[in-house]
Amino acid sequence: MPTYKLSYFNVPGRGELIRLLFSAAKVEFEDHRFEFSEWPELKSKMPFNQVPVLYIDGTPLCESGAIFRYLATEFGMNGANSLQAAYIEMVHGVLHDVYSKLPFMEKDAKVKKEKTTAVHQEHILPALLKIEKKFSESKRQYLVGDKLSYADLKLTNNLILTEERAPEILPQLPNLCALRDRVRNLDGVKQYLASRPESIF
Amino acid sequence: MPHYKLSYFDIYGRGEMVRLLFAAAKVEFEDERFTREQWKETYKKTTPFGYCPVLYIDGAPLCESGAIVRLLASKFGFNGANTVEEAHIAMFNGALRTMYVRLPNFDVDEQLKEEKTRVVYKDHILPLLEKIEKKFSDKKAEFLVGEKMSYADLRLMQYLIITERYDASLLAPFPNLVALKDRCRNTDGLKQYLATSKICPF
Repeated sequence: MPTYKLSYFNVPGRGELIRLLFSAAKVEFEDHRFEFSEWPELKSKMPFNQVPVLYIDGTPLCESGAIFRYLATEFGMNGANSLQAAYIEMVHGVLHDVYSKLPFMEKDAKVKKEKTTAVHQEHILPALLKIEKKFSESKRQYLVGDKLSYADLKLTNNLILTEERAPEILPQLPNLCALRDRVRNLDGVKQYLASRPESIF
Repeated sequence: MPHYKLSYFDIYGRGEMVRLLFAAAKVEFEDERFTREQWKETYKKTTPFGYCPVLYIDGAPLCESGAIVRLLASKFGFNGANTVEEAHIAMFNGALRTMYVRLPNFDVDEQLKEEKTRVVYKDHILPLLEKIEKKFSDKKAEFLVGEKMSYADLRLMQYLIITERYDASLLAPFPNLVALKDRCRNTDGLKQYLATSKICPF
């Protein structure tokens, strides 16, 4: 097993799925988290001036998608074949597209709450309803194929956020909530979720 | 070989990489293109999640351009020889996209658009190309990752052609990347596609 170090801001953002993959796989890694104030100095040291960066035996890899797909494949969480990998990427992509519309950077608490509710109603809920329908018809344990994939981890992380910010939409998504609860209680994931820092977003 | 149909706007956008992969692989596909009005009125509601591009493989839909590009790249041999190469290919592809999507493609005010374009090149695109040029010239290889052409090379080719059309002088500091761009554009399949395909602003 190589040594792994993840360098990213001390926020979930584009680092969280990577951290969840390590947790679910129960693979050790150095979770280097830094504050925004440290970024100007660190930036020029990164291969393409961006984070997250994953160091694999000291060799850097950047671009969060490249990182989490690589780890998912290594850890057996990227489907059984290239078509399943494509569907996993599709579901992840849709979740990413709708959840990224949330007003993470909004400073006004009242505006943030209103926009969060609106984004959930206009974008997140419609997408989740479609996924809920397909998932309940498939009668599977996981979103794609027969095993946990990074799409399940992504969904779980997103629904945990929704639990806090817009719980009113969840009763319409019983199968996805059951999946979320199965995943959040997996050995490795459970411990990570219990110990991860609170997010300012 | 399954029947492939790509359904997307009549622009490069998130669809062109898919078209380039079919061209490079010399695999036939149905290139369905629609206008914004047609999208709103007809096509959007037929898609899995209200997004395009959608690739129909024997009628079964797959959306999300990354998923489509990576599936075809894997099937057609443009996704490296192992998972580490796959990761590096995705890294170059992603880094290039991150910078090029900052270009103000939709701005209406021509002068403002030109100013913003210059800033995006200066602050984001050219510094990235400088880093990639250095890595690539150190590697002394024909392609960005591994021994064969990958979708990272296609992405670079696509973007450098756009830059060339805008202002070719911007590429003067990157002779190895320019040589790679020209190597790719002259390969069988791509050469014919690029000679006949519609030129779009983005």
